[in-house]
Amino acid sequence: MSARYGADIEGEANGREEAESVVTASGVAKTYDSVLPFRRSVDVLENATLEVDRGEVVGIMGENGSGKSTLMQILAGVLDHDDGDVDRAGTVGWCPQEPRLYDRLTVDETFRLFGRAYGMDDDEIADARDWLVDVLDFERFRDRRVDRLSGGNRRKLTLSVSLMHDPDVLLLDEPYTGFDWETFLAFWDLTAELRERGVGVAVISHIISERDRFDVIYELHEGHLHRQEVGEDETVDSDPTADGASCERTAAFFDRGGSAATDGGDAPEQGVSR
Amino acid sequence: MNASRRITTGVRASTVSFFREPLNVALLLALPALSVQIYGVSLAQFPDVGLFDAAGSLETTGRITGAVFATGALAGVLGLFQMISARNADHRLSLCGFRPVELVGSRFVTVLAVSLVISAVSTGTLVALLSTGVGAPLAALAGLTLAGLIYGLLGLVVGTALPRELEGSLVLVMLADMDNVFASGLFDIDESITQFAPLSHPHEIVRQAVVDGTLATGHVLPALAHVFAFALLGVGVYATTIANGGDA
Amino acid sequence: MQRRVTTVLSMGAREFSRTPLLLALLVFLPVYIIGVFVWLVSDTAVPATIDGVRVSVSMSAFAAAFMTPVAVAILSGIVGLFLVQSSRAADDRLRLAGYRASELVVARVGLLAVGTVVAATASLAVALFAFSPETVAAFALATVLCGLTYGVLGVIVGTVLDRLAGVYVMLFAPMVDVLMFQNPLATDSPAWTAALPGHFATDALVGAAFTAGVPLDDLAAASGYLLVLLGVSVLTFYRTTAVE
Repeated sequence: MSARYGADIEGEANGREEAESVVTASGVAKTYDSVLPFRRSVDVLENATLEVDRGEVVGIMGENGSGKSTLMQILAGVLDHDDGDVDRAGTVGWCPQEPRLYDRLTVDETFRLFGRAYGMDDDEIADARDWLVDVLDFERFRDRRVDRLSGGNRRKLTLSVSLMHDPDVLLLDEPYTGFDWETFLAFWDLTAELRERGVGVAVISHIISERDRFDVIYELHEGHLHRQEVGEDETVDSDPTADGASCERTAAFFDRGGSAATDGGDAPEQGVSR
Repeated sequence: MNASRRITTGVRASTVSFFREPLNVALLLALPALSVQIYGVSLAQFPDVGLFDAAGSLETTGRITGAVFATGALAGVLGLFQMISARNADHRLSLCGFRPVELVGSRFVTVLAVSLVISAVSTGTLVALLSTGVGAPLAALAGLTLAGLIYGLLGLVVGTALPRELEGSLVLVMLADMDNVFASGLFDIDESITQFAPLSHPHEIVRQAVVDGTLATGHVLPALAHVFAFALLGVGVYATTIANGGDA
Repeated sequence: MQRRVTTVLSMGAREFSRTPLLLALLVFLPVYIIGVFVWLVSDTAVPATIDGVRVSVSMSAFAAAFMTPVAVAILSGIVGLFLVQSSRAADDRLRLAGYRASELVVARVGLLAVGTVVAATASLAVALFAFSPETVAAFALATVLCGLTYGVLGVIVGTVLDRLAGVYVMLFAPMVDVLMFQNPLATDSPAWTAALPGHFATDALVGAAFTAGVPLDDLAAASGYLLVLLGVSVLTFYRTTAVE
């Protein structure tokens, strides 16, 4: 295994000294417009402000349809926005909610294609692939076509493709949907390792009961992002922060004695099979 | 919930999902008219002597051919896409209580509804563009609706048996194109062959309605026989596929 | 860049080769269309205007020659449409990963070329069974150019329209253009039909089939038209898959 992947790099910033923030969104607005007069436009984001720092794990939560995936696509740069600014310092890895893979390619071929896109050489691709299939436990499916993988394994491949190039920031949209329990734990071990390496990680998740894994939680509500720091005692501070609005919803949710239900009613175990 | 209510619900669902796409609706309205016009203009550029075997002027034959082709092909492609997109969802509906015959009945009625819309546009265009007018517009509408129904059902059959959009589209497009050639009457082909071309009988119904102002009663039964045959085939293939879980 | 294009092309080729039904259809359908037409038409001589000259050709030879570009254009158009649409979601991701729009379009068109060559080869095999073109190489090249032109048009349509609308458009366009408006049996073609995508390739094909000499002007014009369409496809793809 090369020094780049899977190595013990405690305290190593790995060349990411320059910027504190790896991705910043300031006052971002997004409306899904219709050209037809009788179809209503949908205001998804309004003055959304978010910051992901180096070595920080950020959670983004919100009700179904609140615009989390839209926000993440804007942060990744695959969707344009109507207002505001998005700044990225470094390379981006984006794990979308849908697989967005080529169905008839095998797992190995997918690694090779995306690795080449990232500008990696054959050795780097092989190292990244070997590490990721081992960590996420899908090595025995390397020769299998994407359309013949189970949903969980497809998810593992989607996640792997997003981080194989060792990006500075990782944007993960519900990354562990369909993961078995062991892989779910492996994912968080991986995230911890990436955090140690100075990678900024933003995760859209409904399983916010795992709050100790996040440094910051943003709640997307009615187009606005409400930022909450996760304190040392793991309670969420409900006082106003960056955007000047308090979010008692989030604090109330966390302080409901460890209750795992979100406001949208999603079950916490959704997407993870034990 | 009884069968008719379930079928009504199914029809509403599939037609609403189609008509929610304004571009699809626009094309459904524009393409028949365009086809009638373009086929008429393009055939009119051929000399009227000896090249084709058409009865009557080439421009009129062209417009009739354009109308029949547009109605059949558009309904066929729609039937194909409906079937492919709804396979897995229909299986789920069958688990919830819809019987296969109700599901396929919903699809059938949807195809009929869409065929009526397309054939109404085509008939309207024929009436507007033909200098000699249309002798029996209702008979022309009936002929075009039969064309749409036959190909819509064929689209359902192809979509059930070959549930891949690209391959299914290729097969249906080619079938429609070649059938249209057989049915157009432009070539001197033995009737023992053309009678099996699904579009030939609707084409003749429309031609007689336009040119002679009469209903070609001799072609109605064969056209209905085609409808019946494809409907039977469609129900059989569909019921088998849904029973097997939607995925082939 | 070359390595990236080679990689995406080779991966695309692997995907293509894993669709045996499609490949079978690309062989069978042209054989069916051209074969049926040749069988249908009588062997009478008909007057045709080729390169401004009135010539007499046998109807069955004409059917074999003329249905070849019609078949290849329809098939390539639909394949081009689906090629770009089926890979669209994943192509967005590849763009984010570092591929440029031009690299992806070149790769998709490269695959399209493979499909067009397969369809063209099958078409030529059955057409040559029915008649002998004056210049076989030029006839084959013109066939491929016609297919590629409509294939790239399918890519453009596939980038801007959804699947159903795209199939509707690609259903009509090659038939109306190539079979109707570019038909040399027509004596009264409007001048604007020369601007249609199938014009130069069809002229080249018919010239190569029934007249002596290689129709270089038409082949060059057809190639130029294809390059312009290719540029439009890159631009359209770039605009619709813009990545910051």
